[in-house]
Amino acid sequence: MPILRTLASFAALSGLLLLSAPAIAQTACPEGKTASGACVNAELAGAMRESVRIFTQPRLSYSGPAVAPNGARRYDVLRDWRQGLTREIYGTCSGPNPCP
Amino acid sequence: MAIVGVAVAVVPLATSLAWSDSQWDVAYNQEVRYFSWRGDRGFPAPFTAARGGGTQVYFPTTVIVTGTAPDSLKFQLVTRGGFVSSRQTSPGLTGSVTTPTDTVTAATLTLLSIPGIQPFVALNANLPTGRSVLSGSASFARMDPDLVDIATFGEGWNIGPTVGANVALTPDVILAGGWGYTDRGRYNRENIVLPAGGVGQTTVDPGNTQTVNASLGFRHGPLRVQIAGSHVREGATTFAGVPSVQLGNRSFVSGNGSFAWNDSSVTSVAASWSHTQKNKALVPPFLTEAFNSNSNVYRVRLEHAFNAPGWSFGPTGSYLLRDENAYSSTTLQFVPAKTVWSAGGNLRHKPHDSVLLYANVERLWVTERARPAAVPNPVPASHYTAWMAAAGVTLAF
Repeated sequence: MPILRTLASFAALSGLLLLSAPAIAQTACPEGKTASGACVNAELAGAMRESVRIFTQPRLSYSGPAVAPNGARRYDVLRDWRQGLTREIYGTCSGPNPCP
Repeated sequence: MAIVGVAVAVVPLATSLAWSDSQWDVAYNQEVRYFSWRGDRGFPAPFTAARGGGTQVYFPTTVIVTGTAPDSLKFQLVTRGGFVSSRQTSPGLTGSVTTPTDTVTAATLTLLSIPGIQPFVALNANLPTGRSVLSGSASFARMDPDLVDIATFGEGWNIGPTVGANVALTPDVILAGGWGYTDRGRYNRENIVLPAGGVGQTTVDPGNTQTVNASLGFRHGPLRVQIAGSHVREGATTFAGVPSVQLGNRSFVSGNGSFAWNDSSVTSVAASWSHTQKNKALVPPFLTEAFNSNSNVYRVRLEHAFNAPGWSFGPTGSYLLRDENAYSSTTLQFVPAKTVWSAGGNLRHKPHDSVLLYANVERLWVTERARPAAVPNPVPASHYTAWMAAAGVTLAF
């Protein structure tokens, strides 16, 4: 099944990432380092990663993105309403039963 | 099978090696949101000539677990669920529903050990804990998504892997990008037969999507800016096995920024633009429509915060424009040109490092252009007003 293949691929990729990581921390950079060895701005790095994660999943859920609601305003573009969404949400629409 | 074998062998071994020196944090957020609207027509507007209104109360709950092994790995699990009670009181379109919402979750694993680049993988999912079949008058509890947060109350299992990376050019300048795929699962939904409401059921198999994203973020003194652009390829949705709708591919750009004038005064702005290409016809024959029936949507939001020790408060305002009436005679669908203005304020209080209390309230003014060709009844230009209010608490452990 395609879904099982997808999940298994994700698990394998995650495992390879885990194996790539050193077991003992050498410095305290919570979001890694630049190429020159300086610590990356942790708040900025977390915000960028969250942004990529959410913006690459625009149709994940009608309940909203996987983020606390008080931080969801920056993703309001995903709420933009479009023609075909009306049909998908409000049902079959033809003949005597047009969509709104 | 080979891929499964690799995963089973690698993951436990790698996990035990990576987390020997790590820190774990947990955050819990509970919020209550209230929406109330009134206007010239109920929803959907072509099916009533009477003034309409509705309310929605939404209780989202979010838990975030984060584990960090500095310079090594970062793991984060975000889970958001909730409960919603929605009621439309428009004459002829009265209905209500009270239900858990679907639960959305995301697990992200980031590699931190490569100087200059931090790749990550994320597995996102929508769990169908909500309600997708609304029989009878309950189907009228679905309301305008510009006026309430939860426009519909459930769908199927959606699984969405994302692969991406942060590229740290400097400590305060980061390029980021990623690719995501969303496999949207099949679910049952009622047939809408107006004015009766939900009658019978049908199976919806929504189209899957692929998305690419590129982002830039930087900090420079008191200035913070993030910009992101995405392109989405949409798949076809079927009803009872029959191709029914395929949205046009979509592009959008979203940005946010803030400027700290001093320690006690910060201005924030967020803006976005989205564009959708032509849809594939929503009724047979399944062909690309002759003209683009989608609108461009523009949003801008402005906030200002006055900060004092442990407190923050200030005004907010926003504007939304959907630029054209979008009507297709082949699809019998109409999305009107719309403007939405809002004005309000927010308040935040942090009595302790691990506790955040907040509240906000907004008043909305909505104007929709006339829909002279709407089916079954033409709709004149319509005006709506709404209140949105929220209060919440975030606890950190």
